Parts: sequence; structure tokens; C-alpha cells
Amino acid sequence: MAILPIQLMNGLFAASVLLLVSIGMVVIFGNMNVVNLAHGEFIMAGAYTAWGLCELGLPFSLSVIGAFALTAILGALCERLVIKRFYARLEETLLATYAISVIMTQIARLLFSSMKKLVPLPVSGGLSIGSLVFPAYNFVVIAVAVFVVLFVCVLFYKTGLGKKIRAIRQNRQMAQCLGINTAVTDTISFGLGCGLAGLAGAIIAPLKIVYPAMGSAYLMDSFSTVVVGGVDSFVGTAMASGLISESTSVLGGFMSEIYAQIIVLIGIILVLRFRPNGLFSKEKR
Amino acid sequence: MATVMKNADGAAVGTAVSKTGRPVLVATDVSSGYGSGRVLQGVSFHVSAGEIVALIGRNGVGKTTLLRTVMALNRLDDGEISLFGLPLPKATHAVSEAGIAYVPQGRDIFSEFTVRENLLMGAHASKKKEIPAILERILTYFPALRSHLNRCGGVLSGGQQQQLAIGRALMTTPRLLLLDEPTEGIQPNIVSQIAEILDRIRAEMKLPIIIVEQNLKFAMRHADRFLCMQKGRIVVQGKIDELTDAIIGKYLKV
Ligand SMILES: Nc1ncnc2c1ncn2[C@@H]1O[C@H](COP(=O)(O)OP(=O)(O)O)[C@@H](O)[C@H]1O
Ligand SMILES: [Mg+2]
Repeated sequence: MAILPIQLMNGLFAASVLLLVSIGMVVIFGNMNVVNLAHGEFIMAGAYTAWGLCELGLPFSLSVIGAFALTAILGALCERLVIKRFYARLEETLLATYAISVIMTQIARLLFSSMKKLVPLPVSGGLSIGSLVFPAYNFVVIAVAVFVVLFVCVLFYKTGLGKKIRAIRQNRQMAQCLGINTAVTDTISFGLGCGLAGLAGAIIAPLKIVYPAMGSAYLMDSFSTVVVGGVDSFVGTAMASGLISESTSVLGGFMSEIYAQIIVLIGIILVLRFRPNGLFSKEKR
Repeated sequence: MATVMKNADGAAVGTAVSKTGRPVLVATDVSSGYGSGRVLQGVSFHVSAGEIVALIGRNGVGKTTLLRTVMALNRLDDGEISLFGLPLPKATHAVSEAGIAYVPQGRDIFSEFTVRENLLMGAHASKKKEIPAILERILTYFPALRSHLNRCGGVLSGGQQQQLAIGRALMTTPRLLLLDEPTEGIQPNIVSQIAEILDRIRAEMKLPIIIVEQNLKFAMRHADRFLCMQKGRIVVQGKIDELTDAIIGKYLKV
């Protein structure tokens, strides 16, 4: 009977997850033109951090903040030590971030073995909308996704740091000529992108199983979102997450999940073919 | 007399620091280029306090490359550049902090930013409290910008963009200004507006300026001295009234 509202609500939840796991990649790709192939591994690192901090007895909310902080620092270190040497050479940044992804997976195997870890749901039970009941944690995820989008929008559009990063994105050399130290802002952008990936990992940890290779699943998802949303606005990322998830979810109500995913994937390929800058990006002048 | 000095190889080199005025910028035997290619081949010149120096020469002789090398946008292969007696920093942002502002040939406005945001980007390193006063002072030179503060930089006319690029450079409160072809592609009536702005900047700020110009009338109106380049070298230099038709015919006419 009320299948559509359920599918729409599940789509909204899936969109929030997709938005959370993608936004860090958008920040890095949009600002420095680096496809971070270790993006999924930073999600994994965030999930493990949240698991570890919860095991130590910290409340889940602090574990999420801890996951953000730790992966941001880790990302900033990677940028300083490795990635900054390869800017402007696309193939080499791909190789470098791929190497980082392999190393991170192996370190996770050494530290935690391949055993799967579980993070308990921080809020249990359900909330009802009309006659429909949804898991309470779904609403937490949706709220965090909204908060994260607002956070990055305020950061990039209202703060001095954000304006500098946007100036660099428009014209790197001119930004340097006005005295902006792009080495510093690059480290901050990369750290921020990785921190957002870690935060996503922490938020999805209670929904999934935490294991060393979990990150690879999210790389493709994030990349699809970047392709559909374009890289020049976070609103585009949010709309793309919504479009992909809602269409998969709603279609999944009428056919098997697999067919729904295939149809959406074809849609993404069509976007890549006909609107390579993304569906929601402004036309370049 | 315009001086043409030759070194042992027969290549022309610049004069030493002039006796008048404190040296602001001194370049000695500068070589630089793009990638492995060399454009500048041992360029020497100086700029003294308060003077305007015109850098002239045909297309492709290396004028832009020279300004870019001073901004540390192109690496210095050989030679030295000093600013107020100190070695020029190696990173572009540090060159800006050291007091050089650059208006590039393509103007390079941040097209997604408003006019105000473009201007404020120039003052990003200034104290928050001082920024409104700096903006107010710069806007007195550019009435055309004041009425468009909230417009997107990308939709301005060429002349407005040029003024914005100069205004943005001045927002950094520089001690030396580099202007690359400020009249290129701009309507004659706007060129005279820009000329008046430069006159005011010179009178009120006493800012030394290196100005690359194809428009000789414009260059001669503003400059105290000229440096004339050919094939990556400075071949003639002197006071602006020493820029004779013979030099123009030999090095500038196409
Ligand atoms: N980005 C670049 N890469 C390689 N060579 C360049 C580049 N820009 C300019 N050049 C070369 O450097 C030389 C000098 O160019 P430029 O300094 O722009 O000349 P000008 O400003 O005097 O017209 C030219 O021969 C040009 O082909
Ligand atoms: Mg030029």
C-alpha cells in the first residue's frame, strides 16, 4: 500500500549516507583537482577510530568528533609528506593516493586483523511518521548530513579561509600573487576532505560492519556523486546524492535492487557522456 | 643619451643602479623561462623609488616573462633579484608579502567573485579593522568600481576588469607595482580614464611602477625611463625622452 512514502524516506536516508561519504571527495577534487583514491580508506580509518573510542568508553558523539580529527590530521600528514609533490600531474596523484590506500588497508589488517568489528547503534528504537515507523538512528544520519552541508557551505562561502580556497580554485597563480600561501591551504583542504571522510566512516560504522577493506565500496559511490553533482557546489553534491539514492530506492520498490542499481548506473554514465561537468554545475563561460 | 652596453659576448646588458633615488628592485643577469626553455638571457635593470619604468619591445620578446620571474611565477635559472636590498623570496606569496603587486596581462579577475570580494582578496593579510579604510581609500581612485561592488567580476567590461585588477593589486598596499599591458584591448575613452588613475596614483602614492606597454603614447606619457627588450635581452634603455624614432623603428615597429 504505502510503498512510495517508505521508498522516499529510505531514499532520503540513503541520500544522507551517500552525501556524507562523498562530500570529502568533492572538497578535495574541487579544490585541488586530485582524485583521492584513498578516500574509502579514510572512511575506514574513521570507522575504526569510532569503534576504538567507543570501546574505550567514550560516548558515540565524541567518537565521531575524534574520528574527524584523527583522519583530518592523517590526511594533512599524507598531503605534506607525499601528495604535495605530485600536484598538477594527474596520473601521479592517482598513483600516490592509490599507494596510500593500499598502505592504509594493510596497516588496518596488521592493527586489527581482518576480524569484523561492530559499533553499537547509539540510539535504538524507532520514530514514527504517521503510520510508518523508521529506525531512530536514520534521523540522526539525516541530521548530521544536513549539518555537514551547512558546515562546509559556511566554511567555504563565509569565512576568510574558505574564500581563499575558492580564490585558489579559480586562479591559483593569481591567488599566490595576492599573498595567499597555497601550500598551507592545500594541506588544510586535503586534511578537511579526509576528515569529512573519517566523519562519514564514524557515522556509518553502527550501520555496517567495520573491516580493513570496507573503504573500497565507497570509492565508487563517492565518485558517482562527484560525476553527477559536479565539483563547484556542495548543493550540487547534495542534489546528486538525493537523485542517485532516491531513484535507486524508488525504482527498487518496483523491481529488484540489482536492476534499480543498473538503471541508475546507466544514468550516471549518460551524465558523464553528455554533461561532463555534472548535472548541477554552472555552464563554464 | 640612451645607453647600449655590451658584455663580452656582445649581448647588451643594463646599467648599474642609478645615482638618483633609493633602489627598489635590482635585477642582475637574470635568466629564466618555461620548463626547459630559456626566454630571458641575462637581463639586468633596476627600478628606483618613485619612478615609473616602461618595459617595451615587440610581442614575444619576454616582457611578461620578466614580470613573472620577478613574481617568482617562473623559476630563476640564473642571476639575482633584490628588493629593497634583500634577496627576492622564492615563493610567489612571499614576493607579494615583500611588497610587490602584479596586474597580469589577462587581468585574471576571480570571475565567480563579486567586485568587492575581488578587492578584499587583495587585503586578506591586513588586519580586519583596517580593511574598510583600505577599501575606501582604493575606491576613491575607481569610481567606476564603487557602483558595481556587488556585481560578479566575470561580467564586467574589459575596462572595468582592468580597473578592478589594478585596484585589487593596490589593496595589498604594495611598495612596487607591476602592470602588464594595462591598455590592451580597451576602448580609447577608457584608456584615458586609466591614464588619469595612474597619474593620481603616481602623485598621491609615489609608488614605483614597471609598466609593460605596446601603446607607446601611453608609455611615454607616464614613464620616466624605458627598458627596451629584444629576444630575451634588454637592448636599449634610457630616459623616456631619449626614446627616439630610430629606436622605435629598430625595436618596436612590426
Ligand atoms: N606558458 C609558456 N610556456 C612556454 N613558453 C612560453 C609560455 N609563455 C610564453 N612563452 C614563450 O616565451 C617567450 C616570451 O613570451 P612573453 O614573455 O609572453 O612575451 P611578451 O610579453 O614580451 O609578449 C615567447 O617566445 C613565448 O612563446
Ligand atoms: Mg606579454
